[in-house]
Amino acid sequence: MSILKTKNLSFTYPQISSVHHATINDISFSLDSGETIGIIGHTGSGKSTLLQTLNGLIKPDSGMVFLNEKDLWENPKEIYQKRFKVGLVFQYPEYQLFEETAYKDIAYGPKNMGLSDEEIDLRINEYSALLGITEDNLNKSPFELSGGEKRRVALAGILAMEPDVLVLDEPTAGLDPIGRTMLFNAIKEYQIKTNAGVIIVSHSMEDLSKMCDKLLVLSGGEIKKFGSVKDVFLDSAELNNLGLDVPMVTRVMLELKAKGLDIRSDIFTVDEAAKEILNFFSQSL
Amino acid sequence: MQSSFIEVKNVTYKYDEDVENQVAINNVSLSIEKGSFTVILGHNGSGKSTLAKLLNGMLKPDKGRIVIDGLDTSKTENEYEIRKRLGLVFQNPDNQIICTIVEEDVAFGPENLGIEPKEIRKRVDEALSLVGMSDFAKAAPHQLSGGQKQRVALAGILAMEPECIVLDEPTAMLDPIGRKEVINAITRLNKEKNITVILITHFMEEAENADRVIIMNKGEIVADSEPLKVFSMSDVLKSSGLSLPQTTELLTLLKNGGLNVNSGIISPKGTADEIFSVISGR
Repeated sequence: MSILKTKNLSFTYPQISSVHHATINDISFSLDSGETIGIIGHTGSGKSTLLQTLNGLIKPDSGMVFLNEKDLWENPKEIYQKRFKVGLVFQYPEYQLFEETAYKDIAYGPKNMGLSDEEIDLRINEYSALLGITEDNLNKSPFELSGGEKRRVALAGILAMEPDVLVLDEPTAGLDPIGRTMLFNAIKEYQIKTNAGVIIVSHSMEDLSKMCDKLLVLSGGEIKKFGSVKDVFLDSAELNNLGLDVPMVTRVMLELKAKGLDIRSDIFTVDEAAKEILNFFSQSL
Repeated sequence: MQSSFIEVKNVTYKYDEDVENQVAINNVSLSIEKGSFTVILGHNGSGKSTLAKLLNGMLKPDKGRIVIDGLDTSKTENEYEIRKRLGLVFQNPDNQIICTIVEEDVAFGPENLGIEPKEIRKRVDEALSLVGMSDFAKAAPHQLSGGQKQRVALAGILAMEPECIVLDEPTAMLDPIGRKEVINAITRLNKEKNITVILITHFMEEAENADRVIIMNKGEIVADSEPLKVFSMSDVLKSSGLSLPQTTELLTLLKNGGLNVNSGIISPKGTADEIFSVISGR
């Protein structure tokens, strides 16, 4: 079932400053419950603008957003409540922490939803455990925490609202591999538990091929491609034209094929590639 | 007598808030040659940023000694001379740019060194050209992309004409295009201007063209050699919390599967060449 859907969505920023903002034009796609879509595109491709239309921070000039099959802007006065349903995690969310303690920061969203103190406490315990935030850290000021710990506190604040759709703008930027794996695992676990739809913007083709069911390629504010991870990465020429890359391991397979080896190149993970090459090798003996 | 530009001898450093027996840098020794390109890899908390701050004298070693071009960093009177010779570039470009016009920002450093206006003009133009930002000399920093801003920050350091530049995760906040721009600019400075470069990062891909790769873990150096050798030590890389690029990981799997490949290669093209030559060589 489609949990979030956009139809012919367009938005242009009013021309009030010299700063260039990316517009979006005629965006239509659909996200199912439990599904993960990755968005690829350069800085200025309209990614951030699109993300902000999804939870109503930006009202589109034309076109519609449907949340659970209902028009997001059906009643503009209720848009505030809708934002609890589509949890948007901005780039570098740790810069938005402001409360006295990490605990209070995570509680901020759920409190605004009007949840009881007991329910809030329950959720904080659940989601800090999911994200590996220690009880000791919960009572500290967010400013005493490391970058990776702060990031997890910011994410916990969104998860504690238990949104139906989780939208993440480069959630792992600046994190080291351990921090990255931890964050991705937490997102997966949340999705398995709640069957939420997830949208991830990332520059790492390797991470996207691991996390996503589908990919959406955005360029100049328009959808250039939308399909399964395989379909999108198979068209490496089109991606290269847009200045985007396929995963490193796919490039290796493409190079081998170009050298004349009769080998599959529709491969995006290391394990698959190793299997294919070893197979090829043993057959050619 | 010493021929190297940087000499780190048995240095230990501990932050005040660190737990007993836990140090940020533990008995580290290394020397860096003039004109070399060294990459220091390590995960968050491995001590690599602490090392950067120790090198330019922002932090003083608790034990041991650091000498930059003959100047001991623990002597306060050397601070000024050391910072003239060794420039530091940080992760977030927004924290390093203070002026409202790009060329004014680049001029800020040399102005503080008391350099003649005519000479400053020359240095600013040259620095901006070296990082490929001449066209943006009159632009406002907020109009630039992350990669462009980071190159302006780099130009600001260059205009002070340091002999060595230490970059602490300069690409961590950039997109792939910005990352390439910055790495290309750094490589050029090293090759064309013979500036000694120490690049601190957790992206292994950025270490491919270095002369030397040092891996840090828990405040200690766990590997120190040329890139090809270090990157074939997959156990050390993994236990240091680094994630291998897909190419290195693939080559390691192939090696374990019986193919006699060198697993220290990073570029997709080099990886394909290696696999092809081993397969067709039999």
